[in-house]
Amino acid sequence: MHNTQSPSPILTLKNVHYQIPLEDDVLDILKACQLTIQSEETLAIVGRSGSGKSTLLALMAGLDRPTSGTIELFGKAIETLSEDDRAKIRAQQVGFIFQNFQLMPSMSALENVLMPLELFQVPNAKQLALEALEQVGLSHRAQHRPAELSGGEQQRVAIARAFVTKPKILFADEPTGNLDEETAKQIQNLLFELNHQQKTTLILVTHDHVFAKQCDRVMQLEHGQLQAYPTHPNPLADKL
Amino acid sequence: MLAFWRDTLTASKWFGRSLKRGDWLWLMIAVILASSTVTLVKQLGDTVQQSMLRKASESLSADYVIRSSRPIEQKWSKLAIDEGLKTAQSTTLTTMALSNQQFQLVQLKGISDSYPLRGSINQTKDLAFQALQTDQAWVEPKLISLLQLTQESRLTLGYLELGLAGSIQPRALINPMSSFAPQIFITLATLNKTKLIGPGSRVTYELSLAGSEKQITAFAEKIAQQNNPHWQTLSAQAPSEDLGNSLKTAWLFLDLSALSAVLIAGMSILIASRFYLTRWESSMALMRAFGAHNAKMQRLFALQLTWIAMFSSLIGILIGYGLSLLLKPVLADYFQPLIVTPPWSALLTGFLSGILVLWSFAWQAFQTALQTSPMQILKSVPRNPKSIHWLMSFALLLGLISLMFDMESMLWILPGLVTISLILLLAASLLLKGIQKLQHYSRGWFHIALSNLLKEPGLVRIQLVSVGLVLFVLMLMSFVRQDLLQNWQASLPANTPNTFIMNIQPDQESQVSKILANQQLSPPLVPMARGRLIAINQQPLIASEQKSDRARRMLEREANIALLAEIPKYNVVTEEINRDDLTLPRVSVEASMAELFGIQLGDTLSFNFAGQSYDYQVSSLRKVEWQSFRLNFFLYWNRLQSMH
Repeated sequence: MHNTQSPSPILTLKNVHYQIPLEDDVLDILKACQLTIQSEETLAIVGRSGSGKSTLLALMAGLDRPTSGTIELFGKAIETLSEDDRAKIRAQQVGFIFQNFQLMPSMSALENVLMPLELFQVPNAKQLALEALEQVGLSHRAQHRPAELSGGEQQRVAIARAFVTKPKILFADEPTGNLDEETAKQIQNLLFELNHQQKTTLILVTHDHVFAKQCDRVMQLEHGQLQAYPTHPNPLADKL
Repeated sequence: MLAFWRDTLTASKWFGRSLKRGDWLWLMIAVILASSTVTLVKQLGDTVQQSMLRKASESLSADYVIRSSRPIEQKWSKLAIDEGLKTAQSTTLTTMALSNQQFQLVQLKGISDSYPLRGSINQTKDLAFQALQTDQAWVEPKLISLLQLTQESRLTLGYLELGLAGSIQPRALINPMSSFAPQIFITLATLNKTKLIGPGSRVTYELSLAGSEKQITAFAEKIAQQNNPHWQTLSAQAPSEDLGNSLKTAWLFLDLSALSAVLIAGMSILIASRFYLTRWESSMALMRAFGAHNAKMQRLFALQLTWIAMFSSLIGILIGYGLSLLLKPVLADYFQPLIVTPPWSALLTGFLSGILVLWSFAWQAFQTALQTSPMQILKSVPRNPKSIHWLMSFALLLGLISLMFDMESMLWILPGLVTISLILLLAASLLLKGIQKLQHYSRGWFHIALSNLLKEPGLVRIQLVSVGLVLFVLMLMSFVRQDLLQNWQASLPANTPNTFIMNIQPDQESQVSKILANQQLSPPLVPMARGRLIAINQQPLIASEQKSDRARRMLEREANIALLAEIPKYNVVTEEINRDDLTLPRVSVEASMAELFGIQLGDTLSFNFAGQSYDYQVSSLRKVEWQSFRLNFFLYWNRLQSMH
């Protein structure tokens, strides 16, 4: 873990609202969210199921636009950008890890890692993908399909795929949510280790408060509002 | 441009890998089915067509033939010889031959020494063969068995008794119906001696020519300029109109078979692409999250689909062509010689059909997948399929159909398909509304089933329309097939006559009647005259000025006109005029012929009969069931009035 102060923030949320229109009303998912994240910082967002954590992550990653407020990613207000312009930022600087791994079932582990590299025609893609698999300890399983891998191995492939493009910021949505405790611990360690090596900014959404506490900072999303996680929480609340 | 080439490379790489994994198996099978069927049908069609044309030219025994119901003047033969062409003459008529006390209807052909100009005489071993001399005949083997002929038999034709100089297999005739009478070949001099040809005899005179294509074309132009109403020209390069029409019906049947196979393949693609849609959506959502923009996604997936289409079509056309080669021996049994056409046209049509069928039926799924939001990676985002994509699918389908049919067929197939599609669409919408209402009253598994149907009404509509179209094409095929075969056969009533005796001369009438009576047969003997319709209400009719092929054909040849006191009862009179209002002898006209020439009741029709013109007034119009195989005529003259 590290907490390097950077002169300029990598991501800023100013008074961000997100609403879903209902038949006669609107549902407030996020209300007046404020947040500033510095480069190489690690941040965990915790909250109950349905509290809007994934929506917040999608907004911060530029996958969607807020109803109101400003989100600046690498100094660009993403709510003003077109889908293609936001895609351009994601392509250059953003990585993702998902709870259900999101691996292509018909592709091998190597092909899954190769996919984002080939998408943008990165030179020496195969070499880079093999190295990434090596880093997560799965080079011997490169030709195996996801169905032939355990849950932990599948998430390792997803981590390799996320880091292989050398993103500046990595968004992880419940990366250990589908894993048993021991495997989850291994994945957490791997994630932080690679994050440290590559000096990536990590934004993590999790239920697991113990996992969250390994980050530089923990924020809690409750009733649509983002607030600092209590410094001395109830120990029983570590597992929500 | 660079981005395009890079994406092409990536798409090709991904396609290659997915091919190895068998990811696109069902889509590929459907495309292979479509392209192989189209290739096979096209190649077989082309081969059969060319073989039939070759057969047609061989049956002509020449490169170009002038056929006439009147003797062709010697000057034309002389002109042809002057232009370096080889010539041969023949005169053909249908008559009765007598041998061993048996009569047989035969096609008698008087030929000049130079016959045939193309091909050779096909001798058979039934009789000893020798060159044709005066008072001798070559006969078709069929006649030998019918009349129990031997080498020593004598054959009576008209006033002449002939010896046999051999048996020959006549050239294959295109219309099997025209070959029911066995052929006899004699010299032109011998034919004259039979005295069978008299005024009004139904005789066909032919001047056959052979030479280079250039010489033939030049001569044919001169013949065309004559605009002789008695002449019909036949060329080895162009089939006769009758043959052309028969072929067209046959091709239409084959094309409709191919279309039904293509539509069934399309249905498979439609269903398979729904299955692949889920996969495409998760891939697209992930790639979008990783930063792929819209144009890139379109390129990558469109290219992959195109590679699938091209690769599968390639396999399809190879299979289709391979099958056509396997069927070659079967066709060779029917067509001698079998002309196997170069496969390029069939291969190209099959290839393009494969590509179009995939895009027609996968277009909607592809476009829907392209709309996938990157948010789909985190949570379910409802899709909003646009109906415009179905329209595009339909437009592509029409493009595919236009590839398979000629312009003439398209003129009725296309509006037919559009109309049927609209009716089916309306029916599907009404059905969905009904299901919607039924859903309120349903419970349990039935309710769930109905809800699933209503989830994607667009898909349900297109599936119903597609199934309906397949059934429509199959139905169309059954009609065309009926047109080809069944209608003609099935509509023949019991005891339908299958033999007609023609050219019975007045002095033969009593003898023929006697022979028939001995066989307990008493068919009506109808007097006929041969005449040509030349004017309506004194307005001359010119064959070359007719827009309709049928009208042209009817004017170009002499018609058999029956002379009867009354119209047969099996003809339905649709319109009739009071006979007292008529000032000229009466003629009854068949309704379709009247419609073709715009003939009304009371009109004056002028006929050329043996070089003289006679006027008749239309007394009635009647419907004729041509397929009944009874004695039917386009025109009936009143017998008593016409005895002049």
